This record gives sequence, C-alpha cells and structure tokens, in this order.
Amino acid sequence: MSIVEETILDINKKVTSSENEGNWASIFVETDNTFISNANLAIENEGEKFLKSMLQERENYIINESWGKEIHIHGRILEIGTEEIVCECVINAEEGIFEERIFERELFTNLKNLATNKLVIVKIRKRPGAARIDILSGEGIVNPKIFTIQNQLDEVDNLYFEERPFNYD
Amino acid sequence: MSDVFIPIHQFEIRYTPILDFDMGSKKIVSPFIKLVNSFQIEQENTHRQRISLKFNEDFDTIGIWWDRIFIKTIATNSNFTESPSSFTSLFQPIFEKLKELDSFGNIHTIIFHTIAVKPYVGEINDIINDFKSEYFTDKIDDFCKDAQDYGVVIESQKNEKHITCNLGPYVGVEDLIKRNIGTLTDDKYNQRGRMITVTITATKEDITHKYYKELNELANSYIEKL
Repeated sequence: MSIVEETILDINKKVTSSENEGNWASIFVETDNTFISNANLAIENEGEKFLKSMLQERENYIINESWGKEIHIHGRILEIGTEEIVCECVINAEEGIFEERIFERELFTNLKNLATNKLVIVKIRKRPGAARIDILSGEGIVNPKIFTIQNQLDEVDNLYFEERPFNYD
Repeated sequence: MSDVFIPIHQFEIRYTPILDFDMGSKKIVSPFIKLVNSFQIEQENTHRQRISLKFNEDFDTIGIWWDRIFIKTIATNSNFTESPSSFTSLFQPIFEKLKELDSFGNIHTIIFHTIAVKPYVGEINDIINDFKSEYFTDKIDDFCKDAQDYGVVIESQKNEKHITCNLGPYVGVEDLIKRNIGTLTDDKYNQRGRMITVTITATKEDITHKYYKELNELANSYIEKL
C-alpha cells in the first residue's frame, strides 16, 4: 500500500459518513481497509490528485518522516525535578568535554526506575525546520566509567579551591 | 574542498580473529539495536558470523565481523570527525565492548578509505584530455591511446601509515556504480570531474577519535592537492 493510500485511509477513518459528500464521495468507495484495492484506477487517480492538492494547502503536513541528521548523545541523569531533568551529556569523552542539558521530565516517562545516575541515550534527529528528541535507556551502551573519571576531576578541582595547602598572606 | 563530495567513506579496524565470536557478539550488540534503523545477521551461529547495523536512514552501516569492525557511509553528509557523532556514540562503544571479550587478541591493521569527487564543468572528452595532459607524458599517452579508462596510482609511506592514492577522470555515476554501491539518485553524482580514492593502512595498537581525525586530515590534504 502506498503512502498516499495509507494517508487516505487515515483521513477516511476520521471523517463521518455525513462528511462523505461532494469531493469526498468521489474518492471513498467504502470505509474499510479494502476500498483502495476494490476501487477502479480512475477513482484512485482522482483521490490522489485531491489528496495532493489538499496537502499542498497544509504546509506542515508530514507524509513520511525523514530526518537529515541523527546523533546519539551518551549521558546520565544528574537531577530530577518536578518539571525538568538535568542530564550530564558526553560531548567529547577523549577531551573531557561534558555539558549539563535540561530536558522536560515528560520525555523520561518511558524509562523504568528513573533515578539519579541512571545512564541514558539522548537521540536527536533534525531536518530543516524540525527536530525530534528521544530519551532511551543507556544500559549496556553508555560506559559509566566516563563519569567516574569526570567525578574525580571535579573533586580535584574542589580540593584546589577549598583546601589550599598554605596561605600567601 | 568546498565543492568536493564524498560518495563513499569507510573506516575499518582489523584484529586477530575472535574464534568464539558467535558466542559473545550478540550480547554486545543487543543494547544498540534500539538505536539503529535495521540490522542483519549473516552466517548466523558460525564463528564467521557477520552483524550489520544500519542507521541514519539506512545510509550508514556498522559491520561487526569475527576479524574486523567497520563504519561505512554511502551517499550521505555524515561527518564522523564531529563529536558526538556515530563514530563516538556507536562505533567506538561497540568496539570497546568487543575488546572486553576474553578471546579478543589485538588490533593489527587500520584502514581508512575515502572516495572523493572534485566536480569540473566540461564534456567527457575534455575531462579525460585534461587529466591526460596533466599526468601523462606523450610516450604514455601513445601507449594508452586505445584505453577506455585512465588512472594514476601514487603510493607513499609516512611513519606507520601506508598511503595509496588512485586518481582518474570522473565521467558520471557509472564510475561509482562499478564499485557496487547501489543506486545513487542525487543529481550531484551525474556531474563530471576527477575522482580521487585515498586508502590509508596503518598499524596501531589502539584507536582514538583523535587518531581517526588525524587520518581524515591527511586524506583531505591529498584530495586537496591532487
């Protein structure tokens, strides 16, 4: 079944029989899933033309999602708020570059056992004018040792500033 | 490098064969399945089992074999020098887990392979004649007068790296199809110009993203010069 056919079916499910008048009546033969295969070619072509013209009017209608760029960011949960969750994201592990990024808590509701230090993958897909973020469990993918090293570096930093070995005064 | 496009790029790490590869590989790869578009297992349950993970709309592939792991991109703008990228987020973590297998031996070869095209405006004959006049002496030109395709191979050695550059005229998408890379529909592949294939083989005990970027820079310097 082509994408256009699937989309017609989808729209077909949403309209009531009373709306199947005028232009609609010339497209839909039946409301079940077999109507396209039973319809003759003329009706199908007419349906496609109408659908295309309708979609052209609706600029943001997505027929088939296709993403240009896809990245996976390794991370771990640092803080869990009521509305937001803070993640430590690995930007460049070799150079020790990490970023704290804030995401809506709703994105994490699919994760089991939500807790701090849980490893996650932030999957980001982009195309001109749109982006999509998926949060996935990072167990078995993200190396927790990366963050351990970062923790130790943080401790050394804190030690330097808080416990100076001597005063210059 | 502005007009240059890269139809094929592959980076490969070869290691001593893992004889029990079929026992441990699925466990390593399984967590990554949710991140990819599709996957394929060939010669399943044999020691030569091959696992392919396809991602980025199926244009990019990570292949995990008993004796090598590679990342390949065909006809995309994927840039593995970026961080994070598929190189750092998928390829490297899988390889790190492979190295943790008791039966993993050592890396013996690294292969960096890139095919680049520099587009020029001109008819096929002009492209070929320009190439011949730049690289061939009259004697070679006379010797090759009945030839259908032309190319020059340059080999060099830099420390642990062996570099092979193969360059020749690019007369259109058929020059890429010869390399079994499937259908390329984008108009840019129908341009004409010069095709440069750079293959760097190196011996290295461990691989970092920094080293990959170093190889990429070296390959780009050849592509720019030739």
